[in-house]
Amino acid sequence: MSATRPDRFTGAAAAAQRRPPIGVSRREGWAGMALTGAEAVSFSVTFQAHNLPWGGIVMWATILLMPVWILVISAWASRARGVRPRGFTRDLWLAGGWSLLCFGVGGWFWIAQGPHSTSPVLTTLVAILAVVPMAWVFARVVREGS
Amino acid sequence: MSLERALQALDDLVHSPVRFALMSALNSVDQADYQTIKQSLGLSYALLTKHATILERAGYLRTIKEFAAKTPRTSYALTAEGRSAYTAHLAALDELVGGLATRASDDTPQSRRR
Repeated sequence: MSATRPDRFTGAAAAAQRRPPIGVSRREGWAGMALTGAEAVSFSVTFQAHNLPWGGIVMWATILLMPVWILVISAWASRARGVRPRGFTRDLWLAGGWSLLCFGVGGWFWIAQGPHSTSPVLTTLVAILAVVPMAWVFARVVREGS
Repeated sequence: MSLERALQALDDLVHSPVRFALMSALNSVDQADYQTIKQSLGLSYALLTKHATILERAGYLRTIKEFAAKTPRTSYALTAEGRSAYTAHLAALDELVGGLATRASDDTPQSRRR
């Protein structure tokens, strides 16, 4: 492309990808936030399950309830689905991958190894850190939505 | 890119007004639901579906169908091939709207003497 001529079409298309689009569903964002909150609670509980009374039951109840919660929220989100901003899908996959990685590492130390002496503050902090990127992804949808 | 090459680079599949508008809308987002596209572009159901099908057959567009309870919901997204074709088409348009104006690289003392 020439240096003097502005790239008016390609430039406008690139700029359009950076602006918030119309038709983004705020309800879908809230659904995602609800899912993220539930994920943080479930991580937090399972990381300390071995140290809790009835820990085994608490852990399995959490693990079994989580897919049900995911299904309920997904159904709610799919009813509210609107436009997804550019980069949303990539960000969601990256945030999901980070979340899984954190759960894998935390799960190895605090679930697979049995009872542990790690402070609940630290395990809760890891659970929150695991879901922060996903919360940020859905917060963007809430912010840009209508 | 010369004007001749830019003209050859224009993609007939993208250049139709409805398809160009549809691809422009979808290029700015990851995916968009059917209703938003239809209302934003002011298209009829038949026209939007027809052009979306043409783009889908060319591999430029992906139709995402979901069910919310018993209600089907359709969304559209451009494929990587579709985004690439759209960007190439815009680059060709950029070159064509420049017309016969001299390029900076052509505007050297040697080219002016000629």
